[in-house]
Amino acid sequence: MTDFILKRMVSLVLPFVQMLGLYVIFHGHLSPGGSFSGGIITGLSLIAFSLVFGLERGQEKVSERMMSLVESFGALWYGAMGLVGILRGTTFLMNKGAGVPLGAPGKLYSGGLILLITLGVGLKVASTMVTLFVALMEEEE
Amino acid sequence: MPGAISENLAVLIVVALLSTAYIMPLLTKIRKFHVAEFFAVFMLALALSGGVYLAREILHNGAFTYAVGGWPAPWGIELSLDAISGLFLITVGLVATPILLYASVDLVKDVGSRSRAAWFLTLFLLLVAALCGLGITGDLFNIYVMVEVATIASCAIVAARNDAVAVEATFKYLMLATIGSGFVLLGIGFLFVLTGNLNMAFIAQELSASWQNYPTALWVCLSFFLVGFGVKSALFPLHVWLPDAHSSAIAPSSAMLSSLAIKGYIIALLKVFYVAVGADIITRLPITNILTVLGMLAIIAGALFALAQDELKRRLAFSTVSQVGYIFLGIGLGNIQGLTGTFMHILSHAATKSLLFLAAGAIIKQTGKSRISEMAGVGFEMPVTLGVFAVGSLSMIGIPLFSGFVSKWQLLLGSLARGNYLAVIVLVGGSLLAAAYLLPVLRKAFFERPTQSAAVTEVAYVQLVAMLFLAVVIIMIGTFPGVVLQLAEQAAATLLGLEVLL
Repeated sequence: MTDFILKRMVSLVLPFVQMLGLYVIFHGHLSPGGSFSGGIITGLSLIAFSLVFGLERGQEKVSERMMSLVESFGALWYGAMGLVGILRGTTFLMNKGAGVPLGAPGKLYSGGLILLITLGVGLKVASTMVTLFVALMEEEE
Repeated sequence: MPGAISENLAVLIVVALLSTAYIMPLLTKIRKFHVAEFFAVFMLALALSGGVYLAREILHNGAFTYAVGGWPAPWGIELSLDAISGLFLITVGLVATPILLYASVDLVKDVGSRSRAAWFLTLFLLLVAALCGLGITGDLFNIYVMVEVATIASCAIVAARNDAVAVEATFKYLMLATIGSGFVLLGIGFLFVLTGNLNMAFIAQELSASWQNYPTALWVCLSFFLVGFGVKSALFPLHVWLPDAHSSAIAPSSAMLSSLAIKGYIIALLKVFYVAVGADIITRLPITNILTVLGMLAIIAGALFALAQDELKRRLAFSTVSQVGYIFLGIGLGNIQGLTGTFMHILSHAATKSLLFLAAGAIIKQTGKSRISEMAGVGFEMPVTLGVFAVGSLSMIGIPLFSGFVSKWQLLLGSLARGNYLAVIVLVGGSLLAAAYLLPVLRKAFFERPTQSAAVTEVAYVQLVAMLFLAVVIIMIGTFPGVVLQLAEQAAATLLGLEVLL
């Protein structure tokens, strides 16, 4: 892959794609989209990089080991957020009832734990997308 | 703090197993991989003790519900903790713990590399967590999610052995299981459209008031569930994926799939039919007759197929098809003894078939022979393994003092109470056929001289302990069925909506 135009275009577009992905993740409780769609957009930006610049340079940016760590962290983070409710003496995944401040409606922080949980799921989805892509690419070689 | 744990125990069991599953890939790099395996076994044992504690609570204080996230029933997800959940949690814990203990001895060698072994542990724990989830959930869509998790995890643990046969079997399994999931999802969609609810208790209320307005739609929906869960739990004409998948996987995977994975879908089917739709409606529709007939067909056909196999693991896999028939026969009978028999058989077959598969795996690994006709005199070389195989065989046939007898006895009582004498004949005939396909293995192993005297030894002590544990479970249930039988009776009574007699 030595296509100059392609490489320049991807370099230009990538930051915006990642920005959009993070925006969708963070605004999951306010606007359409959420952790799944946002996570996929973020993951796709990393996949696009590997597609254009080659798998090796992509792996330099985010290694498989790193992705595996992020994947586990995302899932464990979700579980940990659920435990907040239990630690505060209520039920699993309890949000407002467990004394978590909800914030002002319409603002970025307005759903209590939802934002934090969404973040974990977004990380998990993004890293899973990359892991799947890498697994399929390595199969081909 | 202890109060917080016991109040939230139901959800904590699932969360703990899921979290452990995601910790496993992080442990690939530690120096001694056995630590990771031991940790997984320890968490399973912890989940088992949690299940026992919950079952005790349920027996003493009655069923209760748990609202996840504090959202009450029609809006949030509700876990419904009754005797069914208690019994199934115990079943899963009792069987999965020794299987993983057995697997831990040479998992890395079996699946190829350390990172593959770590992912195997992840998938195994995900499967166990999904099964526990199926046992405790009271929400229809939650059932779908858990069914999907269990399906993907069980497909992947078949593929754990990285060879062409296993991959082909996995592909077949994946395709059929996905079709099954589609049917289940359609069925859930139908129930949602008909009643406007996903919570099973609320669906039951809606349906009992208005089901006569749309009997055809309800029929279609029930057939979707029957086909969907039927494919996944290998009900006779839909069992085609099972022999390949269960015989080509590594021994612990086969044991796990044959003993527990298919039972999870049966529990889901029971919940949909008897809790969501309700015993009242189900027993009035001819679907119970269909289940009875399919169950009887499965008992005979599965056993006949098993007789024709020479490969030990394939024979055991077809035996599972036959034993699933007993479970469906009990569901079809639809009376208290029949359903008690179903629940007892879920437990008893889980312990028995996992023991048989683990013993078969040990024989195949130590001797390198997978065909029964080659196994002359193995009993002299591996007395303990063949001894526990004998315990499993006797339980599978239904000899008194072994757990299989307790469940088959209940099924017999259920058939007699229904006046279904054909079922009685099939039950007895199925046991005779089970004797015909299992006892030749023992005769070959114990009563024929070994052909050549190659040095064959027993498997590692840990594996022997795992198998002996399952054998003790089988004998304990067979000799002192008291508490477990009481729990099964209460589960059956819950399904039928009867007052519990203690």
